[in-house]
Amino acid sequence: MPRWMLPLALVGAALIAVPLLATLLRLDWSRAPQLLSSPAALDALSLSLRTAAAATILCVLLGVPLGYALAQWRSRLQPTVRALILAPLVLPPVVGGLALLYAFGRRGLLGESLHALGIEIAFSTAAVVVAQTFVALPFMVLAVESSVGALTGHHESLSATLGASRTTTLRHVTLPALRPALITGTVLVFARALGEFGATLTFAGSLPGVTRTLPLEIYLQRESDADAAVALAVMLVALAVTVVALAYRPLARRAP
Amino acid sequence: MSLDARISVDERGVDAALTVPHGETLALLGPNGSGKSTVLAAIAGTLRPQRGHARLDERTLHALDRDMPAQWRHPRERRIGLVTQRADLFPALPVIDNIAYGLRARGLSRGHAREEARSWLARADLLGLADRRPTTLSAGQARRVAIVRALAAQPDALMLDEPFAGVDVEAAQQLRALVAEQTRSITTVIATHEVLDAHLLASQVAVLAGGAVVEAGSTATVLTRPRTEFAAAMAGRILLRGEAQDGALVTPDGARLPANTSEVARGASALVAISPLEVRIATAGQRADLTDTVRLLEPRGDLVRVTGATLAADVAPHQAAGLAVGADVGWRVTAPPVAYAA
Repeated sequence: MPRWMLPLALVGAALIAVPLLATLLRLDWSRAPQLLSSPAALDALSLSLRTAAAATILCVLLGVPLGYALAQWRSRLQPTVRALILAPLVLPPVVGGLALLYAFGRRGLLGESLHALGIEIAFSTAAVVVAQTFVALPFMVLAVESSVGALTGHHESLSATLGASRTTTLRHVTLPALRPALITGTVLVFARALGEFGATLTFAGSLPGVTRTLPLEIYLQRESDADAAVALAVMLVALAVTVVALAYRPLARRAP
Repeated sequence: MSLDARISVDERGVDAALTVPHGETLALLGPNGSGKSTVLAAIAGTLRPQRGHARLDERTLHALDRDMPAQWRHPRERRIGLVTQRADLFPALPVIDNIAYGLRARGLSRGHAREEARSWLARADLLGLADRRPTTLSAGQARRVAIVRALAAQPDALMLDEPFAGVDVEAAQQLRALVAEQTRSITTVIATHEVLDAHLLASQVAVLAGGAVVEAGSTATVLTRPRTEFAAAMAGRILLRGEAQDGALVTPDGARLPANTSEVARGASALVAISPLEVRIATAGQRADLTDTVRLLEPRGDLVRVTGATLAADVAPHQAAGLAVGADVGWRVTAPPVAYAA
């Protein structure tokens, strides 16, 4: 690495580390246990963990086939469709929330038909999961797409010569080869879902115990009890850092 | 089952035809880049050629010629085993499950497939590797396991792409033994650039040059009586064309090489394929069978190859001492080579 890069790297690290440290310094340690164990905080935490877990499962279930298809699809339309699918990466989450409302809201494109079937999504816990999936799915798609693109197809071909079906090949040959990407994708998706705010607030609202996830709770508490907001924020940061540290390591270091 | 194929892949400049009788082994001989891998992959169905066909007995694997509707069987329906020069084993599975893979695909239960896989490993003397991960195997071990895996799927024909390349001498030895033993009754194609493999393992030879099969037939015929420079080069022989005279082959430029001409009519055009090991350099006072000019001197193992315009000889280094490019040299042949009809 050229020497001149080092100061820039340090500035980058400081930009991330200083705000996190500042939050930690604002934490009132004596009140923290009490603040974190308040019913509102526990509700928000439990809701956040449950919805983020559900969104992660959905992202794996839908994102793996989508990323796979995108990597193998040869068409002039592919770049356009791909850009559309990855749009939530660059879209302001509020816009995502509005878009979801126009699709699944009571008067939305699909909402009316769903309403007729007795299904209400908007402003329910399901809406939280949908909003989180909407913003997190592209991370999984990207991870899978790029690593499918890097496959040579050699082992897949040999699997076929041994008489294996496509599903068998996927299970025993392709998915194991995609393992690093799947782990990375899953962690990123979970982290993104856990931190989701804008789309959730717009599409699901902020009903205590139903749609008020941890980030929403932090935002609300900031007005009434700043210390509680800080305590919750620290918990969210700790949760996110732990998850990332446990599972998200650079590919080069994961190899045996 | 007998294999009959014609493989045309335009972007690789391949247009090769070959047939292998039931249960025989064919060596597809050719230098690197001659299209051997392409031919094998197309027969196994992992690469789709533009034209041509492949058949096992009456069963069509593919038929892609313009005058009839295209037929293409997916590789999983072909029952053709393929072993390549690359890392073939599935890294996520231990050796035993790699072997059991084809058996599982045929519908055997996990336990039953593993049991059978074990007996395959035992037969190949590889049982000790059963629980190893492919990444922990040496290149030679991995190749042996890959061959056994292909065999365990009980294919109707087996394609081995340079199965002895990239492994050390001892491993190549073990691999040759394995292939010789296990492919006795299965129709096999071995792509190789080593003529030794053809001699040791194959009853049939097809010589591939520039993507086309330029010569094919029984190993003994093709390698001792080649008709093309390509086949002669693969066989390590020098091909001389000329006219049969009494006890000699006379080349167009008038060189006269003693030869056994009993098989060809006097005056007929004939060929002689002579190995540089059968050629000596005439020492001072010896009568030379043929005189020539040295074009090239190159070390070949313990010997030196002295190449002239017409012939070449592999001789001990001290016999080549004093020779230089451009020098006159007299050749002697240890025994008159057999001249055969061109």
